[in-house]
Amino acid sequence: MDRFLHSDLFYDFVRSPIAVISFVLVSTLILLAVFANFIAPTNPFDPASLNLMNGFTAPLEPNAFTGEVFLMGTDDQGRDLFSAILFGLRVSLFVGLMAVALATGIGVFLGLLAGYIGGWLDSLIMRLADIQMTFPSILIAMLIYGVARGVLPPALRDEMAISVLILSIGLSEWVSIARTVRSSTLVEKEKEYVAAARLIGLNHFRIMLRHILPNVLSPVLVIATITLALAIIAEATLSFLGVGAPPTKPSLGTLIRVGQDFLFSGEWWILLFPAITLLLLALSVNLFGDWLRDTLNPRLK
Amino acid sequence: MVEKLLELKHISVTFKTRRGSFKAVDDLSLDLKEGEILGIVGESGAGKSITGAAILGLIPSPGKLSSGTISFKGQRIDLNPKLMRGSKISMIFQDPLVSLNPLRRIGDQLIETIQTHSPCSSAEAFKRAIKSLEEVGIDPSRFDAYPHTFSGGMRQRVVIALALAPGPAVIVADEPTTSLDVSNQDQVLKLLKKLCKEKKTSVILVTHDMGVIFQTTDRVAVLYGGRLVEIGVTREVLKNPTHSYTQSLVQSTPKIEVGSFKKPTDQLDGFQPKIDEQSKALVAEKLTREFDLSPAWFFRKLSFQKQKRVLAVDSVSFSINKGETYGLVGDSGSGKSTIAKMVVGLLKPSSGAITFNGKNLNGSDLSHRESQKIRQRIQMVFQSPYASLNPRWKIGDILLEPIRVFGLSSSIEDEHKRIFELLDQVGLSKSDVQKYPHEFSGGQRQRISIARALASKPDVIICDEPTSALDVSIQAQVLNLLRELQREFSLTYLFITHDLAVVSSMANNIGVLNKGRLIEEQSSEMLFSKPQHEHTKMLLAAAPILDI
Amino acid sequence: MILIVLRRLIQSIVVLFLVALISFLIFRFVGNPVDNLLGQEATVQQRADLEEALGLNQPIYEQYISFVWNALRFDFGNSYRGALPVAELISSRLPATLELALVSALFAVFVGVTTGVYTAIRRNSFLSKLILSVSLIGVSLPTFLIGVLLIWIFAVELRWLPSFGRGEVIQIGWWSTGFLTVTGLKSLILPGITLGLYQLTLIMRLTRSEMLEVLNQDYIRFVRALGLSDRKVHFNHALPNTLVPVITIAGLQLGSIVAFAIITETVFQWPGVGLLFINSVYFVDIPVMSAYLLLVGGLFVIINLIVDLLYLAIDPRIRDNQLMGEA
Repeated sequence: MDRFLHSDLFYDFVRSPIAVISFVLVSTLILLAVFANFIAPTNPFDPASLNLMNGFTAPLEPNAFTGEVFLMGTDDQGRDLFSAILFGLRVSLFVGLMAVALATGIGVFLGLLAGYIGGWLDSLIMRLADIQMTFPSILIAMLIYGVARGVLPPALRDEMAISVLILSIGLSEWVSIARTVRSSTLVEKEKEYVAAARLIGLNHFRIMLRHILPNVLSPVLVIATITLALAIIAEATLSFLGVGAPPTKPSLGTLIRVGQDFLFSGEWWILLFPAITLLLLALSVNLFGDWLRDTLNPRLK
Repeated sequence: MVEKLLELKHISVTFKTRRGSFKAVDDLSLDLKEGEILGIVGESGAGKSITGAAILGLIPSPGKLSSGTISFKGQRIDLNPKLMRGSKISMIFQDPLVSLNPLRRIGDQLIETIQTHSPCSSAEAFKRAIKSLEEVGIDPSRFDAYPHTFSGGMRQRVVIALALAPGPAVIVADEPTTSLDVSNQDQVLKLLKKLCKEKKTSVILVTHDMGVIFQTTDRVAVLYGGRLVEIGVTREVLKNPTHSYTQSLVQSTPKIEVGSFKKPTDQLDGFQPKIDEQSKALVAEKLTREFDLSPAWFFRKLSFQKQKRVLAVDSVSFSINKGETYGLVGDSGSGKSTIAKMVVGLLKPSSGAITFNGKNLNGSDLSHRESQKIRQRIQMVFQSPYASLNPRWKIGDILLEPIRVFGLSSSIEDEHKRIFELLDQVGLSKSDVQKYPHEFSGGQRQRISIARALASKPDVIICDEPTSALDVSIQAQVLNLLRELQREFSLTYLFITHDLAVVSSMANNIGVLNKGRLIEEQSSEMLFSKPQHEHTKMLLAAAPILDI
Repeated sequence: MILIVLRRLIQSIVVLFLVALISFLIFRFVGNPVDNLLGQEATVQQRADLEEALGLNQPIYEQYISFVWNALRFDFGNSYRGALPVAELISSRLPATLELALVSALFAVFVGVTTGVYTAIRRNSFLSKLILSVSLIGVSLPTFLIGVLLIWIFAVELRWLPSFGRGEVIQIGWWSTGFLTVTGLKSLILPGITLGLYQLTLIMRLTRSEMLEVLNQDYIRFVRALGLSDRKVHFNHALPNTLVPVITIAGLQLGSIVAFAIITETVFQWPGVGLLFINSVYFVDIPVMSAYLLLVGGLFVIINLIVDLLYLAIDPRIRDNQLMGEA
């Protein structure tokens, strides 16, 4: 910890307004999501607590029938939008983080193997990567989703939706991480400290894990952050299209889908607030990832 | 006739970084006369490249010329450097492999440069371009070739042709031959010297190599820490340096010397007396290594290509006596690194044997235990101080690893004792245990590498170009350390290098490699006084040696 | 050189077969075709008859081969919803997607490359910084959100442009085009921008970073030292070197426009193959899904091949390198 506080990275961090702001923003959103239960004034998914008469209330204006005031208004069912957004944020973040974790796990593992062992294993993994890269990840995610839906009995489809989402997004994003790890591994493999380790008789797995892995992780950090932004957007997109988080457990994307329907009738808030939240989330993650990439760029040393 | 062609008056170049400003060049003044070759010499960080770049206004950002003036023929040029570029002052850079636009044919680039400075018809430009190529010794039939089809040395000639094409009065050459091997280096320097004298072009030659300075320049300026320390006629400065830094620089530069410190060997004119096997630490017999670079079988058949096999090492045999140093010299591509890797076990020979203390190292069925025992006794020091230590590990852990893996100590206190001992032996302190490699200088990192090699108390250490990446003064220190350690621990060294001066001060016996073959093997003395093979003679002639 | 071309060609064909395989596996094994076509109420005999008719009893590889053979003749079976031939469904909607894709691609490339070059050459100008900030937002905005916001501003509030559909369309033989009518062209604007914006930001940032990288190279320094004007340095030397990687990556990206069209078409209810696909996923209409996959996959493989060959044609270093069993 001490080393971190004195590191170049931290030094640059506290001097960069963008880094600090985006970090604070992301952290705030994460905290909001984690503590949604405590912060949200209502539970928007408990049918019992809903009052249809509350429907279509504008933000901060008292409802014509019940007189209740809602921070961000209500939707057609009378759900408090603020609460819905908090829980939606939770879903979006959860799926995003889990998907990135999955993609990173697969990517680092395969990338290390491909780079270090080389030969036919490398060719195989890279061919696989190439083929998958031919198709946009959204498409792959949709495909996996579609197949999973076809395979699962209708009853389970909604319940498993989140897991399927994580699986499909995670599987569609491993390639760029694997490529990065592989190319870093190829570079590190040729460095003399690896030869020195071999000279001591260490076996290959030990070298991969203890010597090479720590040195390939920093580009992974950058890519993982950027992939997180991609995953969040991918999840939102899939949910918007109707093949992601279901209305029973909506994410920000699902809420926006609902919001679009009400644009023409003038209930603009149903669209706007989830949209702004999504934008803030993706933007702050992207900003942070961009800053991280620029700072960790060895070219500037 | 203007006496001072180029004049730098009190220039300073400042870099503003996040941590504050840093003066790369500090109050430097020098001048260049017409038709002379002025050398700027110094170690890394002395500011010599920056000075060269400043003349053309090409200081890399965030650096700026913060004070002083630069004048050409009496006129100030630092305010508007673009006007001078090419037509009056040209520059060539160090690495020929990246100095040429890979997507442009060299003929095209020549024509473009010519027409930029003196607009003329394409036919006229073409003629002049051909002439440029001929002047630098490139066959005009290669006019339409792309840069990647040329070797490094040839590319540097193209670079010279391009720089000279507009007919400048001054060329700034920034380490133009550092990336080339010895024979190419010699040719390119001779070419530069010849053309510049012919065309009465002045040259500012920036380099760290004293030998190059000695052989090529008329006057020399010595830089240290961004300041001018001494300037004068080359021979004078090198023979009788007045400033202490110059003195130490000249002293540290390896010259051909056959040290009297070494154990006397009773040899007569290259004849090796029969010494029984036991006192030979390492013996290599007909070591051969082939690399198969053929395209995959399928594609070979499709396009009727042949198998492509490269014989990197061809039946090399040598032996090293205990406690002595055997030097292996050769240019890049001669196979020396491959031999090193085979001796140490990183590569398997295609055929031949390596014997250590009588035991055959390549016996096919060595158990892991047996291999480990051998590894303990043969260790290696690598060339790059930056790549040979894992940047994420603390020094203490780096030194601890071999001790732990070989099971050389019985307790934690024992381990710590041993690590401190090692650090002490290489001249570092106990507190360094907690630090990371990037906190040390290049020379210090090589010491750590040496400490790591010593950790298992080996008998033989392979030194693979251990000082090639270091500044001259540091090099001398590290070589001294190696010699001391050899004395103290009766170590046997296999010392690999391309630098003849360095090997002369380190080795008892020397083997010369060329294209994978051992073409000559003699004691140090004999090799330098009576070289036998043509190639050896060529290497000796081409090497830029400080020969005062 | 021929070696390399041949190698790529063979690789592409292999990938095509793989795509066909995946497509076939989905087609055959996801869900039950018999159930889907007959519903739950069918008798055992009806099922057996249908199985026979669909050839479901033959060995797998035979089924695969007939699948591929049919595909080559554009016979993809019938959709589960409405029993229309899939081929017909796709072909009637293809022109819509292709026209949209073309408009967005042109938009993305022209604006992307020019702004990319500008922000690289004039790094510190205010305009550059502005463009970069906006681009960051562009990358953070999901395509669908851009579409929705554009609809809100331009269709709902300002009422300048239509909010859904293609407008009037003119039929020319098999192709239906929106280029020849005013409403058709107006309808193309918002979806075109939406679809192209993401690609535009990517291309812009890519061009910029490649150009900056190139401008840092020694050979650019050298050419400057030779006295060439800034304009010549930027456009004769830096730009061609920048465009080489940009073309390849951008080419691949543009291929994916067809897939991203799915999103835009959904937002704007644009009657293209994307909308068709998403509906088929939602309703688990397997034949349509697998046919779409096959076609789009095939398209991608071909685009990849073209881009690779283009790269080969442009960079002389690769042409002369005999690849030796590279990974």
